Amino acid sequence: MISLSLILAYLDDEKDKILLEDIFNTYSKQMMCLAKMYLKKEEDAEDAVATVFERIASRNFDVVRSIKNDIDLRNYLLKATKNTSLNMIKAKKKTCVSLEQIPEHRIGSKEELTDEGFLETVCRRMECEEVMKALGSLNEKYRDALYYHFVMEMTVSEVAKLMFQSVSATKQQLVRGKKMLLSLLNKEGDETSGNDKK
Amino acid sequence: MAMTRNELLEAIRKAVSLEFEHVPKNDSEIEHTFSLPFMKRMAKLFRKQEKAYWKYVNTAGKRVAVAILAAALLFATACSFKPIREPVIKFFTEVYETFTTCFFEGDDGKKAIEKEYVLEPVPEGFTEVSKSSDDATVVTNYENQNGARIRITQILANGVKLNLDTEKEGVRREVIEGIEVVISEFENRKQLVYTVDQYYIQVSLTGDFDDQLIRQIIRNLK
Repeated sequence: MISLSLILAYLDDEKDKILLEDIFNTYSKQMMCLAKMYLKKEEDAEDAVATVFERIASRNFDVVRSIKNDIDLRNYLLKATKNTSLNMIKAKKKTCVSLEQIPEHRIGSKEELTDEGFLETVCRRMECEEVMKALGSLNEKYRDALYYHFVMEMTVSEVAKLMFQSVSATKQQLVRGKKMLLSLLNKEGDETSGNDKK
Repeated sequence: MAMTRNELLEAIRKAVSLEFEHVPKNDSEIEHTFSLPFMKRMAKLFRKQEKAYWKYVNTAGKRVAVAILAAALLFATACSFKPIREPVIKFFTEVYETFTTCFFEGDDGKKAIEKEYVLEPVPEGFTEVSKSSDDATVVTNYENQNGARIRITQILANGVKLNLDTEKEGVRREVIEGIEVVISEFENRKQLVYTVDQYYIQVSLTGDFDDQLIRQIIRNLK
C-alpha cells in the first residue's frame, strides 16, 4: 500500500516537475523583467524570481496546478513577483503598509454582499464598460482580492498566502472591495442616468 | 444590457491584466541571460521536485521520520529513483561577446566510459543507423524517414571544452527534466549540451523537433 502511494506520488511529482519547468521556461523572463522594474539590481531581481518559484514548489503548487487559464497563470506569477519584490524593498526600508492606510470611498450601498449576491447584483444591473471603469478606479489591493477569489476561485486563505497578509485582512478586503465596487457602480449609474438605480 | 457572470469575471480578469500591459507577453521578446548561480538554484529546485517523496520530506521533522522508510523502499518499489550524489565533474559556462564556452572540470578517476547512454525507448519513427565507440567516446546516430537526425555524443567529461558561436547561433540555458542544459540553435539544427554522471552529453538534432520531443529525448537517454 505504501509502495503504491509512493508510486502515485512519484507520478504526480513527475507531472508537477514538468509543469514547473514549463512555467519557468515560459514566464521566468517576464517575471525577471517585472522584478527589475521594482528592484533595479539584477541580482535582487533574480533573487525575487527564484523565491517565487521556491514558494510555488514548496507551498503553492496546488494553486498553480489548478489554474487552467493562461492569462490567470501569468497574472498570478507576475503578481507574486511584484509582491515578493515589494516585500524585499519593505524589508530593507523596514516599513509596512496596513489596511488602515488604504483610503476608503464613502460606502453607501446597502446591497446584499454574499459572493453570489454580489455577482448577481453586478451582472443584473451593470454593463461591461461601467464595470471596467469602476474596476480601474478600485484600490489595487481590493481589485486583486476580488480577482483571486472570484476569477481564480481561490479560497480566502490561499488569497491571504499569495498577498502575504492575514486571513482576516483578506476577508476585510473582500468585503470592502465588494462594497466599494458596488458603490462606484451605483455612482456611475447615477451619473449616467441621472436616476437613483435603487 | 445586463452582463453574464462570465462577462463579469472576464472584466475583472481584464482589469487586473492591465497592470502588466507594459511587460512583454513572451519570454522570447526579452533579452536576458540568467546568471549561473540563479540557474543552479533553479536546477536544484527542479531536482528536488522529481524526488517521489519530496512532499513527505519538505520539512525537517518529516525528513527524520521518513528517512529510514525511504531508504528501505528505494529497493522495494518498482519506481526508479535517480541516486542523490554530488557531481564530481562541474559544468561551467562563460559568456563572452561573440561566443559562449562550456567546459567541464574535475577528475572522477575514470579512464574509460563505464556506462553507455542510449535512447530507451527510441522516439517514434526513429531508428538507430550507426554507432561508434572507444574508451572515451560513444557516438550514436538515429534517423527517421523524413531525414530528421539525432546524434548522441557521450564523452568522459574531464577537460572537455566546447565553444558556441553566439554571433551565428542563438545560445540559451534551460532546465529540462531537472538538468541544466545549454542549447544552441542555428537554422534547422539544435545542439543540447549537459553533464550527467561525470559524462559530457551532446545531443545534436537536425530537423523539426518540438519542446515535447526534446524533453522526451533527454528523459529517455539513460
